[in-house]
Amino acid sequence: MEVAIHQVMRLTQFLKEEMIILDLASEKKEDVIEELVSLFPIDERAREILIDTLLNREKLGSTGVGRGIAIPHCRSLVVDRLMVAIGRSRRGLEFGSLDGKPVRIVFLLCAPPQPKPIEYLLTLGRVAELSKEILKNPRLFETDDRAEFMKILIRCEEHIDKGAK
Amino acid sequence: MSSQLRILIMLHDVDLLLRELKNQEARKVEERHGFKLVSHSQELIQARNELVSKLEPMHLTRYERLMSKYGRAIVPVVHGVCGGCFIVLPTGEAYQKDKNDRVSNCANCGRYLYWID
Repeated sequence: MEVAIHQVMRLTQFLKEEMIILDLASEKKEDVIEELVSLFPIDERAREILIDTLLNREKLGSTGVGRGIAIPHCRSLVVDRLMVAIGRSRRGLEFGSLDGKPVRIVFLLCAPPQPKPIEYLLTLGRVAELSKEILKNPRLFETDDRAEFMKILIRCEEHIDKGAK
Repeated sequence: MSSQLRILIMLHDVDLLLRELKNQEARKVEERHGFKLVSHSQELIQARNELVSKLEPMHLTRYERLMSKYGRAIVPVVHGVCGGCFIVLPTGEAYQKDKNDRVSNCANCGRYLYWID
């Protein structure tokens, strides 16, 4: 299964700098989701639907996975491809995390329903794995440069891939 | 976007979530990655009921029938192709402005269409 995850894709291959917010303005879960979804190149009505679906997903259990990381995610008809946005909060967010700790990094992941569910889950697994790897890189929590942030993410993914070989 | 189409899409997204909640394999994968899922969400069922109450009966009947037949009642249209049966839709439809301002169905498979491009 782990090998399959690495075969899916590198997240950083399609993540663009414009999809990263290094200092989230929002403090509440709902607002953070809205702030990150606003980065996606979809129209206003589609954005509203996507926010609703992400919040509905939160009703099934918080996506705050602990260690200061949250991964809100969903599949929705209003996106035609996998879309990812990343937000970092300097203050820390209340996300209803399992360990009760404030969230510092939010990976928001949306995918269309068309691919098989397993592909979506594998991608989700990749994000979960990346979220663990970034904890070993304190500079990711300090830098004010999105390009540097991206470079660190790329290094983290390379490290994951090396570990899988 | 037509308000009925908006409700149909939201309902479809909710049904997808409910389906994933019941999918044991999907649950296991999510839980392995650190997500904790509830076994039953009354809140989500309530959200579904609210959407259903706003849907015109004609659309609800058709939606349920399509879900039962295909597993997906609404499909995206990309480059003029139905995302369900992959038939090229009539060019007349493709050139209409604001195509999502009305509810439309594929002439071949009958699925509801959501125009992405």
